[in-house]
Amino acid sequence: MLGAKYVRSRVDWGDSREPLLNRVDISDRTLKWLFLLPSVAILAFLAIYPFIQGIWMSFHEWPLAADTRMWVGLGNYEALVESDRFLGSARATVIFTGVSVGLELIIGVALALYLRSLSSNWRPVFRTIFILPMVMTPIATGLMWRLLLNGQIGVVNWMIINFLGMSPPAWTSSPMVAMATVIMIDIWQWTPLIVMIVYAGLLSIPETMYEAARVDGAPRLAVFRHITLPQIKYMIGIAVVFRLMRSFRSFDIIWLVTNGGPGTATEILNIYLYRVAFVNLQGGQAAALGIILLVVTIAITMGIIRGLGMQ
Amino acid sequence: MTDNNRNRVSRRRVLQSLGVSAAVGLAGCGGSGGGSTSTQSDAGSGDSTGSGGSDSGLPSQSEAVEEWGQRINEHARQAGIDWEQFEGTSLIFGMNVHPFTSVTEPLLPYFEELTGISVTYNTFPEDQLWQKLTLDLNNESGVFDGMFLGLWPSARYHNAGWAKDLNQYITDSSLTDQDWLALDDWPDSALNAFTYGDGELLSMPFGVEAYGAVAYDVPSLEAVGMDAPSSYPELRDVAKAIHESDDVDRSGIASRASSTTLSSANWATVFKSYDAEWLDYEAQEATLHSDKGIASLEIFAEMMGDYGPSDIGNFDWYRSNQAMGNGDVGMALHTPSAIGPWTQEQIDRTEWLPPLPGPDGSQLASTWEWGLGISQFTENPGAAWLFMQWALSRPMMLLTNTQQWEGQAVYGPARSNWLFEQDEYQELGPKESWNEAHRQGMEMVPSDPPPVPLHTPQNMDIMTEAAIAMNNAVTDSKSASDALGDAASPITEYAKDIPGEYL
Repeated sequence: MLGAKYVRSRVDWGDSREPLLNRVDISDRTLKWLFLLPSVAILAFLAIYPFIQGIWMSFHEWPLAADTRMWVGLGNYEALVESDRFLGSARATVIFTGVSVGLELIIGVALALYLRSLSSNWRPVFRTIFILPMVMTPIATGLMWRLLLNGQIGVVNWMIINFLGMSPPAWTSSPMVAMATVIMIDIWQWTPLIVMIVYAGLLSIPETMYEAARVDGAPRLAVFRHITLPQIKYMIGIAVVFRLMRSFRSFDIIWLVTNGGPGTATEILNIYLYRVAFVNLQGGQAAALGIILLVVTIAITMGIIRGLGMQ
Repeated sequence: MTDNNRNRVSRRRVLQSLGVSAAVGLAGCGGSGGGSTSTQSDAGSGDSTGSGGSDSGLPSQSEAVEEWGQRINEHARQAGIDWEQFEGTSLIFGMNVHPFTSVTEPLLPYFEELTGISVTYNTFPEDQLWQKLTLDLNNESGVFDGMFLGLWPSARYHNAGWAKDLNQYITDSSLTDQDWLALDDWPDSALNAFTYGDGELLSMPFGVEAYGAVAYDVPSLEAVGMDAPSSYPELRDVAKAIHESDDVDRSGIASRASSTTLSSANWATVFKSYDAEWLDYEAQEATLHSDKGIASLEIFAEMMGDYGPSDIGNFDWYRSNQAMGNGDVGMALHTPSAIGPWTQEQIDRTEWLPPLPGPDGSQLASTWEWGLGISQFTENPGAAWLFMQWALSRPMMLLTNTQQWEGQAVYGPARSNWLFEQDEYQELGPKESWNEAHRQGMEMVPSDPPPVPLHTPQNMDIMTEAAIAMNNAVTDSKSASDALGDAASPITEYAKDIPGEYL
C-alpha cells in the first residue's frame, strides 16, 4: 500500500519549488501511518515480537539448556499456580508492593504539602534534598544500603550500638525484618517520585480556592479533604500507577540486599522469575510467570485508572 | 553480644564504610542503570590466599609480568607442537571476575607473541557470566570460543551439548604434547569430576577446592582455654565459648549461609559427614530430610544461627571471608584454596583443620572446581585448546598459586601433584596447615556418588532448594526438620527429571 512505487505515482513531478511532502497526493490518514511506520516497525521488532514469542514459550516446556520444546498448553500456568513457591512469591509481592507504595503515598503527599508550605527561599533547597535518592540508580542504591547495613562494617549498626546502646536488628537475617528492610529502602528511594508528582499537582491548585475556604472559616482538615485532595486526585493516581508498575518489577535492590532471602521471605515474583529463568533455566515456566506478572500489573493499574475516572 | 559488637565495629572501619557507601551512591547518580556492579562472588571464587604482605618487597606487576611471560613462553616452547599453526586467529573467552582472570590477563600479549593468536577476555561477575554463557550457548551464536566452567553446573552444559569433549584435542598429537601437558599433575579426582557420559572431559581445572575445612584464630581459642575441635559438637562448643567470652571480641563462627546455591557448600560437607544423602538415585526421590540430614542441619544452624554474626543469613562467600579475614569471627567453615584478602595479622593468627568427622567417624567433603572449557559452537577449537594449554601450564599454575607481584591475587592449586613439590611454592605458598587441610580435604571428596548431585544436570536446581532450606534453618525461619521437609518435594520433582544416563 505504501511502497515506493505507490508514492512515486502520487507525486506531482512538475517543476515546482514546493517541498516534496506538499506535492505528494496522499491523504493525511495515510501520511500519518507513513510517519508512524519506522517507530511501529522498531517497536514490533523490539517489543511485540518478543511479547508474542513469550506467550508462545509459555505454552511449552522450553528448557534453556536443551533443544527440546514440548507443547504443554496451560501446563506451565497450572504448575505455577499450584506451587507453594509461586504462592509465597505472590504473597511477598503483595506485601512488598502494598506496604511500600502505601507508605510512599502517605509520606509523599505529606512531604509535598510540607514543601508547598515552605517559603520560596527554602523550597528549592528542600526540593533538591527530597529528590536526591530518586536520581540514584537502583543498583547503586542496593550496593550502598548493603554496605550501610553490613553487620561488620555498617554505619547503621555502629550508630545504633553507640548512640542508642541497643543491639541492631537482624536487617537481612530475619524474614520479617528483611522484608521491612527492603521496603524501607524502596520507600527511601521512591517517595521522592510521589513528592514531585503531587507537588506539581499542588502548584496547579488556584490560590483563590484556598482564600474562599479561609473566608468561610473552613478548618484545615476540611480544606485538605474538600479542596486539596480532589484537586490532586489524578496526580496521586498517576503517581500510584507509576509506582505500582515499577514496584511489581522491583529486582535490583532486593537482589543486592537480601538475595530474596532469608529463605524465600523477600522473593517477590520478579526475583522468582529470574531464578526460574537463569538458575533453573526453565524458559517456558519463566515466560508464563512473566505473562502472569504482566497481566496482574495491567489489571491493577487499569483498575486504579478506572476507579479514579482517569480514562 | 552488644559489647562485642561495640568493640568490633571500629570507628575507623565505619568511616571507611560510610565513605565507600557515599561513593557508591554518588557514583550511581544519573547513571544509566544496570551494568556489572555485582560484587557477589558466590561459588568457590576466592580472591587471594593472602600469602605475602603489602610490604613484602615484591616487584611491581609490570616487572613480574615481563619475567613470568618470558618464563611461561620458554616452557611452552619445550612442547613438541607447532604453536603458530593458528596464527592470525582471534579468540574470545567468557571469564569470571576472579584471581585467575586478573593474573593471566596481563600475560595475554605473551601468548600472542608465542602463537600469533590474540585472546580477549570478556569478564563478568559470576551471576552475569552464567547468564551470558547461557544465552550465548543456547542461541548457538558462538560469541565465546571458550569459557570459565564451574563444577556444580557443568553437567548441565554436558547435557545441553554446550562444551566440547577435550579428549579429542588431548589425543591429537598435532595439538598436544602429552608429556609436556603432564595430566598426571592433576589429582585423578579433579579430572574425573569434570568427566561425563562416555568419558567426555568438559573442562581442565585450574583451581580445586574442598569445602568445610575449619579456619580458627589461635589466640581466640587460647583465650577461652579450649583446644582445636575434633568433631562438630566440639566445634559448636568452641564457637559458643568464643561467642560468649568477655575476653574475645569476636563472634564464634561464620560460614557462607545465604540462600544462594553455592552457599550450601560448607553445610554439604557437614551433611555428608553425617552420612546423609541428598537423593535416592534409584527411586529418584529426595532423601535429604532423613534423620541424619536433619541432624546435620540442626548442628550447622545452631552454630551459625546462635554463635555466628547477627546477619549470618546474608553471608555469601565474600561476607564469610571478610568476617574471618578482618578478625570479626573466631572460626570459619571455609575452603582453604579460596580465602580472600585477609589482613596479614589474621593470616599469621590462623591455623587450618581439614573437614571434621561426623558422629560415626565419616569424613567426607564437598568440592568445587573452576576450569576452562571450549564452546561447542566455536569456529576455532584448536586455537582455543592451545590457549588453554598455555594458560594452565606448569609455570602459569605456579604463578597463579604464589604471590609474585605486589597486590597479586592467588587461587587454587589444581596441578597439586606437581605444584606442592616445587621449592618456590613451598617458599612462597601458604602455611603448612593450609596445605594439609587442602590436601586432606580433597582426599575426602567422594566420587560415587559425589558429595552433591553434581554429576546430574539438575544439580543447581536441587542445591538451590537445599540452600534455601539451610538458610531458613540458620535464620530460624523454620526448624531444620520443616525446612528440609519442605525442600524435599521440589527436589523430588527435579530428581524425576534427571536423565537416565546420569544416574
